Amino acid sequence: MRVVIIPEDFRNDQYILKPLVEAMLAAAGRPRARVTVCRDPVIRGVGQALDRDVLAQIIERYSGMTDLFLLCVDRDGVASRRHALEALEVHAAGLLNPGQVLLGENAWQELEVWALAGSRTGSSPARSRRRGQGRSPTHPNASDLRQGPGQDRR
Amino acid sequence: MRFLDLEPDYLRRPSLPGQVSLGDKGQNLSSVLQRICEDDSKKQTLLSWLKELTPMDATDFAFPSDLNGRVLVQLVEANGNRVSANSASQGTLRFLAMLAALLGPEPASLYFFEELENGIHPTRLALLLQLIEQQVRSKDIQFVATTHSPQLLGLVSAQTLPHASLIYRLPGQASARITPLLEIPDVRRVLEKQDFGRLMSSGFLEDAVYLTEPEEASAK
Repeated sequence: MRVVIIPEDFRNDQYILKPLVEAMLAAAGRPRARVTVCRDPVIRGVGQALDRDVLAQIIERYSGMTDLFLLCVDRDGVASRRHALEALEVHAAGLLNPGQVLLGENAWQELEVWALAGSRTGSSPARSRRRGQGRSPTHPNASDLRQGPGQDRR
Repeated sequence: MRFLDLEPDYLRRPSLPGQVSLGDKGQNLSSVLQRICEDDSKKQTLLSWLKELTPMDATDFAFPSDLNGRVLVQLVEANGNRVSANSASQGTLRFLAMLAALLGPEPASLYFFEELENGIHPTRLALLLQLIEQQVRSKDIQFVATTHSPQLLGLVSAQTLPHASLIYRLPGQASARITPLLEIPDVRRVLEKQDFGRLMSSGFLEDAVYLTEPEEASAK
């Protein structure tokens, strides 16, 4: 399976989305899926990410080598964003080749929350109990989040 | 065969007259230019390219020698100003070195040139390519160059484009590969509608080889 992720701002979102999508696909039985992040056109914000012309450019470029286009944006507390994504999915279906699909997803409330959900260290019952007893002064992955590419998304 | 990985420090060094070929880092530039200038028609060719490729209004070359007999090229402008190789920009020196390599008395049959666009103003890249393509067409030489410049790639002529290749390394693989650009699946179709330079800068070319790689050869 070949996947192109379309973030609303690739510069930092790529560091969250690529490993997360690869892990999700591996968990779904697709460990050899090839995943890449679209970096052009340079999308700056959800407004451009939901633009049909921008989407058409991306689909045209990658249509010969992609099975799944994954459009990932922040929900930002906007209840109608799901509806906008569904409308884009329907529109994109008319641009795609047979067998291809575009899925749109909005992160509640932002993609950084998905990064926390993808953390391997935060899901054990024991850790949950410890969290209930008192909050750690720093997040277990705080050092990872502070270092490396993508650290300054906001 | 000649490898050229030009370094400004070497280009600015005085050299002994009589040297007829450029070193791989640009050694002997002044001597080779001096030798070229002994033939007036070649000198005029050199000057005409230099005028086109740099903002200088160079009308002549001078080769003053130091106490050891070594010469260092000076560019003489129309207003009489003389600009020594010590003061000329890196881009101007690189142009001069490429001209010296291609027009010199002992041209190689195969040139390898590292990072063709280094130090060159973007507006002059088209002329640089024109110079190289013209020399390759008119002489029995081959010219291999590497670049990281999307703009340069966008300027490559239709005749040269089939010879352009992508050097890439797929995730999880131990070595790099080289593939002719036009043989990357689907690239020809995309190229008809989108700018080649932009495709390069966006990483699309690497994406294309990655996404179209047969599954058994891709990263586990």
